[in-house]
Amino acid sequence: MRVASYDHFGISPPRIMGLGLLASSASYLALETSSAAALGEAAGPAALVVAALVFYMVVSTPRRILDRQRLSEAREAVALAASAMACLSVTGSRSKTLLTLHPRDQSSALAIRECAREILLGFPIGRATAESAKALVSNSAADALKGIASMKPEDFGSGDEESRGIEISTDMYRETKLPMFMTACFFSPIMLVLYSVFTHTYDPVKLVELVAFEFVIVDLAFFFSSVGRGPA
Amino acid sequence: MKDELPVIFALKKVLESAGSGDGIAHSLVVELRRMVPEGSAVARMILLGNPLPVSLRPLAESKSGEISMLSTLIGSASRSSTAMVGRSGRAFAAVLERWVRLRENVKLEMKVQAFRSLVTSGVLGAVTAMLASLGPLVANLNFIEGSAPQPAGSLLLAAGCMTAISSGMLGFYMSGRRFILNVMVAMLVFGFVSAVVSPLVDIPSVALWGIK
Repeated sequence: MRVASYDHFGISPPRIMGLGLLASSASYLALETSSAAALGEAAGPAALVVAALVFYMVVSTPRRILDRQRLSEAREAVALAASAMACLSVTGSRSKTLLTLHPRDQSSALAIRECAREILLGFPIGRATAESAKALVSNSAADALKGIASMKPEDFGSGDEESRGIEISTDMYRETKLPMFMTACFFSPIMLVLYSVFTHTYDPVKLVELVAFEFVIVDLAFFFSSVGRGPA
Repeated sequence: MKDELPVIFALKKVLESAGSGDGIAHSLVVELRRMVPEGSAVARMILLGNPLPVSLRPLAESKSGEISMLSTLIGSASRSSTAMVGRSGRAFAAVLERWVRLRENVKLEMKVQAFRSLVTSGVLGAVTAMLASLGPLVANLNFIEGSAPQPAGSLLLAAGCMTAISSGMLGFYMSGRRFILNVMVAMLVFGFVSAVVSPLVDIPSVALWGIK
């Protein structure tokens, strides 16, 4: 199985799947034991749903980190292309330009530093930039870096377009997830109060379990709704 | 940073004047000296004779990514060409300005959503208070033998906790640290509704068997 985000971070899929299974099993056992008294027979299926969500949460973590990194690099690509354009037209030297650039984004800065190191070691600039560009997730950031080697600094419009696209998709995610989160927050306490009323659950210990279960539900909903909000 | 747009405009003007051949340090002092606190700090450092990258540090270390990017580009003029940085930077500044405007729009939307979340928290408080107060009474209604009184105190407390958790999370999602407002609104409404409804719960139920 090949997953782009796992490949990028060098994570082995079986290992992260194992980690996900471990986390989901732990959450299943914890929830099943803690809410069995209050939820009764419903505790098993509820814990199963929570365990599935925890599994997804763990295995999708690299993808979320990658998405955030992509946005950050795409924004940095604009600055990178603008400063490369100015520097290249003045110095006329690709190596000097690469050695002068100091991006603010951490992953872009790492790629440029690696590229500069290879240039100082005597590698051809084309190879150095191509190798370093592989570490970048954003296409426009990679193009901006390769553009320096080809003496044709990329127009920073591509970085702008990419970050705009990511922002639009982030907005759409937000528009989809907000009603879901509001529904979870609004209806989970109501449903649990109704549950305790109709099952005549008035024992304080069982009610504490229900409160804890509600917290787990709302917390998971919060996590899934916050994913992809990114910097506005 | 609170007022990003004026600083972006000022830096854009600096780039425009640099593109037309003026000195960057002079333009920075003219444009930024009235902008407190970062702008005036930059102007003061330039007038004290610090080099451009050092003087621009307050802006380069600013919380606003756009201002930081733009000031880093202006600072790089000392290593390349002022005119070239000015020329390439004008379009760059326009892109950053658009980003900042976009963010301002998102902030306005978030304000509306924060208000919506306050309303939702209030409604949630009312509904859960009503359910927790009247629920035990309604669930145990027995018109033949009369209802046995149910201890609803712990349920009311649990419902209050659930309401506080939900409204707190909702507030945190919508308005960050001001989630406490949501919790306060929800709990106030919850307390008010339970106080209004509690006399109904205390009415003794009468067995209707045999009443014509």
